Amino acid sequence: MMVYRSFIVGLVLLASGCDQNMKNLIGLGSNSSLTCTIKSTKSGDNQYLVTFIFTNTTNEPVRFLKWHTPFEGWWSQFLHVEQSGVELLYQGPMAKRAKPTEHDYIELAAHEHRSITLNLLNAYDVALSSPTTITLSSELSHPDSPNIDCSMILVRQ
Amino acid sequence: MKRRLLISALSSAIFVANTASAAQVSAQINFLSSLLTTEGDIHVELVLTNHDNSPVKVLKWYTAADGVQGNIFNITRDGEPVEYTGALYKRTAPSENDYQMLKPGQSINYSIELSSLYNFALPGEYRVQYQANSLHLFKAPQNEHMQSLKNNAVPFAYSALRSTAISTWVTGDPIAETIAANSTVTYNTQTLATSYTSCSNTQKNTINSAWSSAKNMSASATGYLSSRSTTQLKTAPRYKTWFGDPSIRVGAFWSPKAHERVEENFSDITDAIKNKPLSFDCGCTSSGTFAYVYPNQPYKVYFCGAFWNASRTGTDSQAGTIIHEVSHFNAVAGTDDHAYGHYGAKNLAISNVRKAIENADSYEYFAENTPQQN
Repeated sequence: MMVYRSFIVGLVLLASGCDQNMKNLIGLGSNSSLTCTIKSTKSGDNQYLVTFIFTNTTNEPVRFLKWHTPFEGWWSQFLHVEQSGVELLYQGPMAKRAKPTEHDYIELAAHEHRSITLNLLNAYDVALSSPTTITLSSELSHPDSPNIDCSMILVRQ
Repeated sequence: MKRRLLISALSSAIFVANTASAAQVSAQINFLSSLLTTEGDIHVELVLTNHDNSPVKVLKWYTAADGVQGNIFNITRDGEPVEYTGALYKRTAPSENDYQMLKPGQSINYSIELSSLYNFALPGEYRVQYQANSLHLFKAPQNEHMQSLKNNAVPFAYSALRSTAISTWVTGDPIAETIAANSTVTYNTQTLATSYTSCSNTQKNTINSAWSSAKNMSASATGYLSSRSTTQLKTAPRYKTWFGDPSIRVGAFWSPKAHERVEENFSDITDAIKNKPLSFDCGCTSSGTFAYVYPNQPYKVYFCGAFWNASRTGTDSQAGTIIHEVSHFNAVAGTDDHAYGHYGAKNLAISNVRKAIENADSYEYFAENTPQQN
């Protein structure tokens, strides 16, 4: 159904306020206090390394579910990756999970940041030489999912 | 000149050291039960014993220290070789951590389930022998320095370790390698050939039963949708619970209504379950995961730990998991995971119909219909 995604995005304004409800649902937790940054990292052959950094901007610890975030690696489609205006097909796995356990959570102390570097080539057929737009936004509807949204145009290093 | 002499002296010393350790380690295998059938699993015990006066290190890759990681058995059924279907690893040279120490006189026992590694789905007389061959099989601790020299420069000893062969009968019916199609329709059975990787006899039988339940469940979901109009679905609790308002357009105003897209997807899911060539991998053991697929690689399903503990039908069941996974394939319905669990899926139906109709769990729960709704 990804073909329809651009239609859907374009028509959000026409929708009957659905997306607004959705945002309220996920934002209930303490996780709106996280920010994310994406940057390109020096890559070797057969690599397109991208680093994701989550920062706790508050004075309190923040705990979030790492499902559908870069911190669990390629187990879901948590990114939108675009080159030359075309959204690339996610080629990694999608997993059906049981209930989350303690192991599925990450806690960041006040003002702590945590980063992880992933090889984009393990999940997308990216052309190495052209700029890549990477968007990370929480789309998993789970009360403990982090409410994050960041987008960056990257050039492979 | 002097250096060359030294190397050749070393090389013969290494050769002796290697063959000596090889001769001093024995391997023995036994079946752990005597009545074996295609309904059950095939357990053997492998015992490695060091008969030498000094410790010997054995490369774990050829033992079962971390599970069987390669083709270390010669197996025949009625004289015909049985293929290894377990995992194969691409390796670099072994490091110290890859060796298992056997002290003088020490034995190590490994319990191994063979039907997930070799095809035991057919009845017959099976002959099983453990056989490991490798350049790096043994490492005598005192010769480590020379071993590393050996790898670079000098002639090597190729070590082998084998047990005597043991035989047994496996009785019972062959496990279907093709999943039988609905008897009222004729399908080309060639396309239904099923392949299994790392699945034991018990797992193959479980998958076959679950697949058959999934087929019925998906067909009945398709039937429910095709026999109801938009107006009827608007007040149908089963539909509304999982997919919300059926009349919303999936795109712009000329595009199909949500329930039409759901019906189309269910019909594709049912078709895939019935008619597509399937392959199953049982190598994933994660207890927090039911299964996974690569959406662009139809029709291979990887089953994980939580799948084997699930019930056959009902909420988060084995049959439902199959529907969930098959719906992910881009060639089928191309669903995503926007929410997991009953709670998340129900919320999605209320808050965002467009996401609900592309959410894999929503398809699964609609098909499972537990508790039952009309």
